[in-house]
Parts: sequence; C-alpha cells; structure tokens
Amino acid sequence: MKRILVSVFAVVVLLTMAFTMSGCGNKVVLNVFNWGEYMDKSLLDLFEEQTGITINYKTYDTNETMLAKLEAGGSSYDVVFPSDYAVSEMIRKDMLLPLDFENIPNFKYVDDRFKNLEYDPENKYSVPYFWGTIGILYNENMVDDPVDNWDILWNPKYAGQILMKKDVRDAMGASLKRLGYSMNSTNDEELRQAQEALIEQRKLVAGYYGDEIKDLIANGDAAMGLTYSGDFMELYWDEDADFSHISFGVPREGTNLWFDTVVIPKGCRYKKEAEMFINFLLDPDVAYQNAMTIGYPSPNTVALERMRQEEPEAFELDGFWPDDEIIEKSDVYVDLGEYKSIYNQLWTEVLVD
Amino acid sequence: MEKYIIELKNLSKSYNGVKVVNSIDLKIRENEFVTLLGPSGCGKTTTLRMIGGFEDPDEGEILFEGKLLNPVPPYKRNINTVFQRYALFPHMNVFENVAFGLRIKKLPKDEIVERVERMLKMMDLENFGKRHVDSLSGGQQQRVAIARALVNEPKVLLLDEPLGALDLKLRKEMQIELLDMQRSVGITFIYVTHDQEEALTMSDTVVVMNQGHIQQVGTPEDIYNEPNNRFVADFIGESNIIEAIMLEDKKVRFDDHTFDCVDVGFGQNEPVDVVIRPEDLQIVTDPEKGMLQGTVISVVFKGVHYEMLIENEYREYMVHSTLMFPEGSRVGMNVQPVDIHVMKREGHKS
Amino acid sequence: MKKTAVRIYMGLIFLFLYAPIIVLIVFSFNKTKSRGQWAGFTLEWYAELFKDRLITEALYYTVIIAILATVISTIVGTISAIGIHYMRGFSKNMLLNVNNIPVLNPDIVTGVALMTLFLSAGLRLGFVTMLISHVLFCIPYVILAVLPKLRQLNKHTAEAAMDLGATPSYALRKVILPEIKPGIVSGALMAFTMSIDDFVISFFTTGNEVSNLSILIYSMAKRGVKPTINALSTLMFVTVVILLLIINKKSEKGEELLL
Repeated sequence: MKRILVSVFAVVVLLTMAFTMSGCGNKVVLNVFNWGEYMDKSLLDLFEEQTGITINYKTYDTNETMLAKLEAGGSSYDVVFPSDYAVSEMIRKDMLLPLDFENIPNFKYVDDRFKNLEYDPENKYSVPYFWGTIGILYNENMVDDPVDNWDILWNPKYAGQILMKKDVRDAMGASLKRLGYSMNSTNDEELRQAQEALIEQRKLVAGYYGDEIKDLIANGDAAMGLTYSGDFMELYWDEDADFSHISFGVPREGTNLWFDTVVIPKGCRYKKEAEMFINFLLDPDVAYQNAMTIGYPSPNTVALERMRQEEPEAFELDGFWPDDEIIEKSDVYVDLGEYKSIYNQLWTEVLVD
Repeated sequence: MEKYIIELKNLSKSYNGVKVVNSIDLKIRENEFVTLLGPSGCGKTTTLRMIGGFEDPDEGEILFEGKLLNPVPPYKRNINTVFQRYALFPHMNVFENVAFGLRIKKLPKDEIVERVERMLKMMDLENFGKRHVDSLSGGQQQRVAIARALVNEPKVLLLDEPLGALDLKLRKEMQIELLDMQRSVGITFIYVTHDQEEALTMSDTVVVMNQGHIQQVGTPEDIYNEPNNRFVADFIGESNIIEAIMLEDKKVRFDDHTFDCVDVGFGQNEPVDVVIRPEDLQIVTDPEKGMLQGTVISVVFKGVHYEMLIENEYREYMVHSTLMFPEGSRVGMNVQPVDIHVMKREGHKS
Repeated sequence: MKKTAVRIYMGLIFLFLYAPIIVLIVFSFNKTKSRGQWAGFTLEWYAELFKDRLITEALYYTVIIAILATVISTIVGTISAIGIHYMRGFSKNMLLNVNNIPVLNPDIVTGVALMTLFLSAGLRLGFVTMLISHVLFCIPYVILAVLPKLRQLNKHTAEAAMDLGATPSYALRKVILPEIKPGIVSGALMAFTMSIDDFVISFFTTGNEVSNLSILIYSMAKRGVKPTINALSTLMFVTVVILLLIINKKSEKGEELLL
C-alpha cells in the first residue's frame, strides 16, 4: 500500500512539473478569456497550427466575473469577449487598448450595421463577435395570441404562466420598451413608470429566473418567458429532441440588441499576436464554422450568407434573424454610469416590494 | 551497606507554581513491594511518573542501581509501567500487545512467540492471543497490561492504580494474584493507590504521602499501629484522635482522666495527639468500672463486629466490639497502655 | 409493521439523497442537450468529454490539485492535530478557535483575502497560489477529523508505547497513527472532496493559466451546462464510490491503508 501511494505521489509530482514547465520557454502564449461554451474549440487548434502561437483558453460566466478577474490583477489576459455594456464600462475605466485595424484586415467583412455602435462609438476598441436579441420564448401549444409585442407579458390571460428574467437591464428594458421609451432611459419619470408596470405585472408572473427559463419553457412548465434569442437557438438546433412547438417572438416595438465583442485589455503582452487572433476569428471560413457550431447569427457578412444557404429556414425565424424594421427600433445597452445604481434600486423594489 | 534499586533524593515537581511533589527522599530495595499511598493530589502519581520518565523533576535526583536516571528517556529505562485504565493498544490483538516491547528489541521471532505465550499462560490468558483487546473484560485487560509490562523482564514495575477500574470482588482477587506474581517473578513493584486497605494488604513497605510530602514510611503494621501524625492516623483505618496533654513520661491526660501509656520522650505538659483504634477500646457494662464513661448513641452491625458511637461530655468515641450494647445505655470504656499511641501535635514545637 | 415503516422511511431518505445523482447519471446518457427530455441512449457525451481540451485540462488540474492538497494538508493537519491535542489551557483553546475560523468563514472572504495576500506578496496567480489555498482550507478539516480520534485515545497510550521501549517516532508510527487512522482517512477524504468541489476560493486564487472543473462548469452557466458535464460528474461520482468501497473493504480487513 505504502509503495503504491509513493508511486502515485511521484507520478503526480512529475506530471505537475511537466505541465508547469511547458508554460516556460520563448513560445508566445496568448491568454484568451471567453464565455464558457462560446467557441468551436477546434478553431483553437487550427490557429495554433497555422501560427505556432499557443493559446491558453479560459472561460467565465458573466461580464462581472471577467471584469473582477481583470481588475484584481495577478495574471494577464490578451483577448477577452465582453458584452456591449461591459465594453463601454471598460472604455470608461480605461481598461482597453485601441485596436490596430491594419492588423485586422478581415474587419471589412463585418456588417456595417454593427460598426460604430453606442458602446464603442468610434469603433476603436472592439470587434463584434456574435449578436442577438432578447425576446419571448413560448410554447405554441399554450399560447394562442401572436407573440410579437411586449404587452403579452402583461396579459392577465396568462397569469401564472409568465416567467420573467431576473436581470435588471432585461426586465427594466422590456418594461421601458413596452411604454415606448429607450432601454437606456435616464429619465426619472420614464423609469418610475417602467417600475410601476413591473410591480403591476408581478401578480401574473410565475417566477423570476435566470438561465432556467429555457428549460422550464421547454418542459412545458410555463407558457412564456423573457430570455435571450440564444436560448431559443439552442433548442432549435437540438437534433435529438423535438422542440418544434417552442418558438421565439421578438416584439415589434423593438428590443435589446446584444453584442458580444472581442477586445484587447490593457496588460496584454502580445498585442500583435492578439490582433492576429482577432483577425483569424473574422476570417469568413472561421467565422462560418464558429457560427454553425454556436448557432448564433454571425456579424460577418460572408459567413452569414453561407449560413443562409446552409440553413435557410433559420433566417425565417425572428429569434435568429429579426426583421430590419425591428433592428431599426432596437437599442444596444450602454453603460448607465451613475444610473446603474438607480436601476438596481428600482428593480430591487420590484422584487421585494 | 544495603542495596537500593531506586533512590529518590530531594525530588520536587511543580505545576503552575503548585508544588505537587515537595523535596521527597525515598529508598527502595530490590524485590520490595512498595506502595505510595495518599489521597488524590498528594503527589503519588507524579512521583511514579517521574520514576517512569514521563515527567521531568524540577529538582532532585532519581538513582537507578546507583546511577543517575534523570537524563534517561523513558524508552531507555529498564522500568515498565501498568497504567491507569491500562492504555492497551486497541488496534492490536492480545498477542501483539504483549509482544510490543519484544518486537522493538528485535528479538528472534520464535523467542518472541515463546516468551509471549509463556507470559499469557502465566496470566491465564492462554487462548486469548488472537482476541481483540476491546472484547476482554476489565480483569482480563488488566492482566494483559501486566503481561505486556512483565514480558520485558523489567527490574522495576510501576503500577498506577491498576485495580482502580475493577469491582470490589475482582479487586480482592487481583490483589492476591498480583502479590503472588510479585513473589514469583521477584521484581520490585512500586504501586500507587489511594486505597489504604489495598496498601496494607499487599505491601512490604507503605509510603504515605500528603500534599507533596512523605508523611511516613514503614511496614503496614508500623503505619497502622504507630502512625507518625494525625494525618496518617486518620488516613489509615478508622481511629479516635484525641487532643491530650503529656504530663510526664508514660502519663497522658485527656477527658479528665490520666492514662498510663508506653510513650516517652515528650516534654512535661506538652500538648499531644493520642490515637486509639476503635477495636482497642473495651466496653464494660458498669460505667464505674471504666476509665471513661459514656452513652451509646448509635449501633451499626458490620458483620464481624458492631460499630458503636459512644458519647461523653468531650467527644464521641468509635468503638468496635463483638458484643452489642443497646442505644442509650450507659457504659464504661477501658484501654490498655500499649493501645494508647501518643503522637507529636502538628505545628507544636517542644 | 414497525419494521416496514422504518424501511419505507429509509427508502425515502435514500431516494431523496440520491435522486439528483441518479437523474444526473441517467441524463449523461441522454441524446439531447436539453434537460427534461429523453431522446435516446448515447455514449456520445463520454466520448466528447475527452475530446474537449478545456475539460480535460480542467479535469487534470482538479485532480492534481486535489491529490497534492490532500496529501499535504493531511500530513500537516495530522501533525498539527497531534500538537494541539497535547497542548494545554489557553493556547489550546485559542488554537482550536483559530482553527475553526477558516471553516466558518465564508469562502468568499477566504478567497478574496488569499488573493489579496498573494497579490500583495507579488505572487503571480496560478497553480502554486491555488494549491497553497487548497492546502490552507483543507487543513482545518483534517484537524477537525483527527482531533476526536486523539481524544478517544487513552491519554497514556503514547507513554505506554515509550514505556515499552518505543522511541517517540516509533510510538507515533506504530501506535498513535494506527489508532487515529480512521480520523486521518476521513480527514483526507474530506480534504479531497473539499478540494474537488471548491469554486469560490479557487476562482479568486487562480490566474489565467489554471482553472478547475468548478470554474469551468460555472463559466458554462450562460450557454447552458452541456451533457458532457453530466458525463464527467458521473465518472467522478463513480470514482468516489469506488474509492469509498475500497476504503471500507480495507478497514474491514484491518489492513494498513495509508501508512
């Protein structure tokens, strides 16, 4: 027994050394920090093969986690994937390096509609990675009204059948948009009205949830719920189960357009190589493969066209590809600055009132 | 010159500023059965633990066969101990417990087996070798603990209240067994107990301790019959202890009566303590025929004798007698001069 | 009658305890990615598990850190427990209370505190800092598991061994350690489990190089936990069950296990 333990211990130590040593040497290692399950990982191997650059790929669950990790220091990251509002926050906090677009020629493939957005007005720091909307995921068997407006979340007919997203921006945003205001409103009167509507809605709501909404709707536990288009796409692409009765409605009044982007944070040690990686992600072939794996619409026009040929049905869906008219009316979240705490306050009152 | 196996010289030990052992001197002969007797906290166990090497003395020397033992760690002393509640090794069977010391000495396997089995046989534990120690009765565990110590053939065996956890009947049996064992193996036993009866039954020499001091060293008879002071008299058996005045040699006065006694060498009119054992007082029915008079106030039947309390105007006397005198009867009491034991009054300088 | 009631009660308790794990195991063989629907049997997730470089890497670090943290914390914790046990009075009580603080302290405080300490010491967050942290939060559990065993020990056991000629180290190896072995083993198992499932402290004390399974799984929250994680959890559960069975079997036979 003793001998076995000693040998196990020795193997462990050797393996540890082997792994920690491999990090040394003169090889360039890019530290990439992305959302969990948000990239086709075979692309990493492809990039490593093509360039000889090693990628150390780590993942996070929320923008806040990523920001906390970056701000704590103690380790550096070369490429991260913040969402829209997080980009504006990072710009405000001077955490980003401006990109050298000379090194990112593939930026030309990016849909012009997705350039120079509010969170990065001059498009100096970020490149869009994926985008989508928030909307209403619903069970066709349980809802007989058209799901194309925010009002349906306030429809007493579906009392006890409605799930709300437990997220201040999404809930307040839906309420603001329903009243015809901007999702980034900093008008106290508008905010007050939005809050009132949410309080009024509470008696209809079966529960406030995060990521569980997708599964609850898929299992038929509730009729509809406010969630990301990405959740719908997950169900849509699932080849092994039948979710044909699950649909996604994007309100005509307009909604939130969310963007996840690619940026280079300060502290990056290999900026040129990081830009090479960003350029790589924008390559039409790579972007196509990545989008097909993840199942979200690519902001890359060439890749998108290829997707359209491959999966024409998806482009009929609001959840995947909303009408231009909706996009026109929609808002991209921006950093609220001081109003962040006012939103939080109002939302907390809704939940506990 | 007599040969001593253990000598304690001016031995002291304190805990948190309290002297639990206060400069004691003691000499122990080979093959002697010595008992350290005293109430709990008197320092007897600490003394034993210093001999065993588990406590370092603050001051003083411990000699073993004339050689200084203080710097020798316990595992190099040719002394073994039977601990309170035995401290057997529960993860080993009986055989392995007994073989423990021999295995450390790296004796050949067959010798270990032979010696352990001989020892188990001696302890009536022949078929218990494979048993788990937890499955044994208290008496059996006790014997394993003794076997575990004796198998190493120590020159001295220390026993720390070894019978304390046993019931009365078993304790009596084990006392006899232990005594037989000590006689047959011929090694020195140093035995700690707070039970005076046990001490008197078993020992060659009794060492009475109190508050870190040795009160008296002597044979059981000496200790019982000639207590050095009030503490020893009180601790050893029941006795009547009386404050008295030594008028002159062989004359002592208490309770308005002058008694003849055999003690000499006290100052004139020196205050002293007198001990009279309850069985040494003879009761006479006619109060006038007694040196002392009193009234019987209680009678308890004790099997061999009656224990009676007899009250006079000064005190109560405890008396043991085979005859019964009813409560309330007026009686006289007599005592032989040899049964009056006069002791120096503590704290009195003559 | 009473017996049946007892059995039913026991059955319910076990069902309650193990239902989540059973569901998890079942779903690790489910074809579809979404929870709550059965779409047929597949081993696909098990195969994919070993293809995913993130999962294999995180698994590797989780296991390595758990083994190293267990070994180190068990040794250090056992020695500390023995030391504390033979202490007296004020310092003993103080140490015992100090030992309880990390156990009662919210992980988040421990994590942030450790991170602050490492950063202010100029250490780069990574494998070493995470290992140190795991060792640190495991030690109190080992101490807490070992101390009761020491208390059960007759206080003269070590002395009895030395009395019979054992040097202090021999007494420790042959008498004290075997006596407290069940405590050491349960302490080690506890340390191993604590290390494997720690998220909060690991999260704060690791850097860009090393992440463990908890961090990885947690990072999947937004896009949904993949069934590969069910497969992985099933494998880990089976491993732990096998470990426990081995330990039980060994201790039944009274064989020497760890020492």
